[in-house]
Amino acid sequence: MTRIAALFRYQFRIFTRESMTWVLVGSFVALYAVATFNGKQKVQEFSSSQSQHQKLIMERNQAYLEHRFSDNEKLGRFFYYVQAPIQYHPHPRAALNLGRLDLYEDIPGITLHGIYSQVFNAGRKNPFSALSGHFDLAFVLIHLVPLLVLLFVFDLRQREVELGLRSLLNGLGIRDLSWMLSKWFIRLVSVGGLVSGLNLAVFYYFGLPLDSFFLFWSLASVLYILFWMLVGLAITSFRLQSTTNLVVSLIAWILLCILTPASIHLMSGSHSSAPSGIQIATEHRYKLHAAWDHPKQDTFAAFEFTGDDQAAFTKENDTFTWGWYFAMHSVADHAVTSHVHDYFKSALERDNWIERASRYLPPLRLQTALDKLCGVTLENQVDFKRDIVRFHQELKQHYYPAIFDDRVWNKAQLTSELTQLSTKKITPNVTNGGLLRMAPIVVWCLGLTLFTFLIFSNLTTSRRNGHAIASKRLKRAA
Amino acid sequence: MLKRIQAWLRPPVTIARKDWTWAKCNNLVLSTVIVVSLLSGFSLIAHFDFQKENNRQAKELQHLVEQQWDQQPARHPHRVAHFGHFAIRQLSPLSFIDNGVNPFVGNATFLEAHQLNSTNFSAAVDSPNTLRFGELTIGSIIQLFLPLFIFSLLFGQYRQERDGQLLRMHHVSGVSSFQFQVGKLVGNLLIVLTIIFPTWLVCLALMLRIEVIPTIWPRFWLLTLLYLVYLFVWSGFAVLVFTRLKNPRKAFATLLALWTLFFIIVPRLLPVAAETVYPAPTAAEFNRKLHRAVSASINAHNISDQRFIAEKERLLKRHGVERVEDLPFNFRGFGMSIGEESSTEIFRRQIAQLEARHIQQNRFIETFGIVNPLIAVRFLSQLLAGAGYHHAFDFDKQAEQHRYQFVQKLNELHMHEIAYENDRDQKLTSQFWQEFKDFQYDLPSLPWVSKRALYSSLALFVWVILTFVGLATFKVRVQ
Repeated sequence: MTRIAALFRYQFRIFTRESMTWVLVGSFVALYAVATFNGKQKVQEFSSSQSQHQKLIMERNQAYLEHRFSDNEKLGRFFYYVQAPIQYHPHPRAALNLGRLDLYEDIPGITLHGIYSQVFNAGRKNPFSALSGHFDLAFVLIHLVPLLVLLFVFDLRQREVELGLRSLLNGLGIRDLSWMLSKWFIRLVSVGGLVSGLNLAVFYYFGLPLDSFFLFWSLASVLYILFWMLVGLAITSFRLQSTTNLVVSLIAWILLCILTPASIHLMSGSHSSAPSGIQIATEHRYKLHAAWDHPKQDTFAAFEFTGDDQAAFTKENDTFTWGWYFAMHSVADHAVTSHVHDYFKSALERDNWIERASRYLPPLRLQTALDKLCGVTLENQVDFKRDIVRFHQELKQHYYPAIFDDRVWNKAQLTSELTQLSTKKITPNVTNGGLLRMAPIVVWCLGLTLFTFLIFSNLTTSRRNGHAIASKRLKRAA
Repeated sequence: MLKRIQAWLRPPVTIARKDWTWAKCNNLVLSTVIVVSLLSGFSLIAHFDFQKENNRQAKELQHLVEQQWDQQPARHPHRVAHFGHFAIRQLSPLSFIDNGVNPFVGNATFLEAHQLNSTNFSAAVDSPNTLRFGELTIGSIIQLFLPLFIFSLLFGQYRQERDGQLLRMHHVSGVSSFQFQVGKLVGNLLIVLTIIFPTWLVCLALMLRIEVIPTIWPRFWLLTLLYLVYLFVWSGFAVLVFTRLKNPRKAFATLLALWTLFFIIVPRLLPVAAETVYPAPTAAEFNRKLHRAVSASINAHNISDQRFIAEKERLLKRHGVERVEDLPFNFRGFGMSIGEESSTEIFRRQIAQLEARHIQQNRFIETFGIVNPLIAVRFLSQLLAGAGYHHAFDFDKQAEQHRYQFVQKLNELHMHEIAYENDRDQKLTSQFWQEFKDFQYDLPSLPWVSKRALYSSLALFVWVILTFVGLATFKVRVQ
């Protein structure tokens, strides 16, 4: 026991005395810091833009009220202009994993016009920045931590062999396996400890609670590190030269972290029979104007069919009324509702396909699990749009009776209505816990352990056999 | 003279031939050929298929919206201006080689009066998050992974040559460092080109199946040249590192570290730096500014707007009449026209400012092409493939021009074909709508591309010169 403890102490001392260790740790901490600040800045920018937008809409509504409306105004005209503000609050965890936050639609508020001409507004962003991707903690954890790990373990055994120290160690009675495993273990504990410490600091910095999510993040990080440590160990167990190990490690990293996820993504884009977003937009526009061209009574008849439960509203003849105007928009919305449903469904099917495929690939598994926990999945984005559509429906249910009755309101009533149009706050659904999601990585770890063990025992047996044959030959020769 | 050149060329040719023979017998090279061919073949076919399907749908939809436009019933011209039109983006024919920013750019814009809508429905919006792992295209394989392969090849050769004292033999037999390095460079470049040659032939075959657009073939050949130059630069750089550092292992480890830094970390860090140095306004700030500017312009829908009233007075004076009814054209149509002109000018100015900021950010990143050839090549490759951010902005510009033209033409009709009296109840027959031009996006010309490619081309040119200078000046460290 003392011998093993001494070995571990010695390995730790060597590890911490190597300048390369500190260079790598220093660069890694710097990258972690950049990712942390960038994550925080991006989420702050997003939230600040949302609240600025909300303020802007309130001001604009107020300005309309002051300058455009007389004392007695039809509610329909009022809602032709004013917008109901919407504020999307990303989960605070999104600072750790920005996911698709930059791909969200730019919808600061909605009017009572057709919702499907409002819900797909992308806004204007720099496409090149979007293409480059985020530099957040999830990226550091999933892509850069493995590199750090592989750099620490690629020469676990070969270092001593190449320095000519192996025979010396043999002379001291230190077994190859115990020497290598002690080195491996020290590195696992060091990298695991470093990442866990940094995670704790980051959670403290973001003010995130140390709850089940923290537990998941920490355990998943350690498990992921263990996975890559085992990959490194499996590679070194072939007893190739250290540089060859480095190449093989890099190839493994490229395959697992870049090529396979990219290929899986390519495969997920199979053709879908669901209508595309553009088809929906063109059809919505066409149906809206077709409803405009029809006699107003026909539009009302179609409107009743939309199931908005407005059958009791006053039906006007062929003169313009605000009720007819909004009915026309409702008819257009209704015409594409099923297409929108299919469109969302098809997007989610692709997402589910990726989720299933991720079972076989640890980096992808961790990414999808973190996306769910941070509320930055495609499903969250679809939910965001669905929530807006639901909110639009609620507004319709609330205001349509008054609009269809062609009610006239005075300014005081309109002002009070404006204050009632408080901001709709939308937050993403996040899952908690879900450690079971990491089961595939555990399976990978077990498989790698078994694989490494088999290679070791195979090599040791063949070496023993080799020695036996050699000694037999020697005896025969003598 | 010719004999002298032949004599000078003999050693490099021998060295290149030796490397070629070495590669032919090397399992690593063979397995890389298989892996690269499979990967690039898969990505080529998948992207080509996606591009074909995407463009077929886009074409059909564009045709549909043109039909919807032509088949409109009798309507008031201003109604038609709000019925609007769609500009639908097709992927450029070379997107299957380098898809660039295509997934992050919208594919359709709704064009209507008084509004400049954003281009919506990007592929990224309904793609899973795996898109962020990067796209697998033949362009990305060449840009990211072939340099790494070059490093591994050279490492294998140098280790053998140093161990086997071959370097010393070359030195003793009078082969100069320059000849030796040129030989190595040519030999390795040939190996790498052999690896991608089959894939490039498939590209060529697929190109023949694409609808011919005038600039496509020159773009394709320029892209081929670009990748050749890129591989030349990395081969030269790697040869220099290996010949300068005595220990091949150290040289290889240095190159691997540089690869990780330049190919993985820096490309993600640079946009963060660019956004910090040149912050773009948030969506809210942009909208606030836009709203303010638009509020200060002429609002033709608001008859009590002071600027509109002033315009009216000026017009009445110019025509020597007292009432708008006495004007030789419909005053409402005129109002729409000047309102459109005023709001368009504001919209275009604001959007140009935002675009200029995005271009500044991207230029900042492009500046690093002088340090990292990958950055320069990435910009150039996207530009030549018609999948760069410049093309995305150009699509928006062409769509906006189309919007302005048709809206102003409708306002003309409103002015001259609709009487002022009882304006709203009048309609024009569908014949009028058929006289409008269809929307057609024209891929920009090569001079347009070259103007935008200047900086990155310069950076790459500097790299080529540096490679030559390095090969000519640095001596091989034999010991």
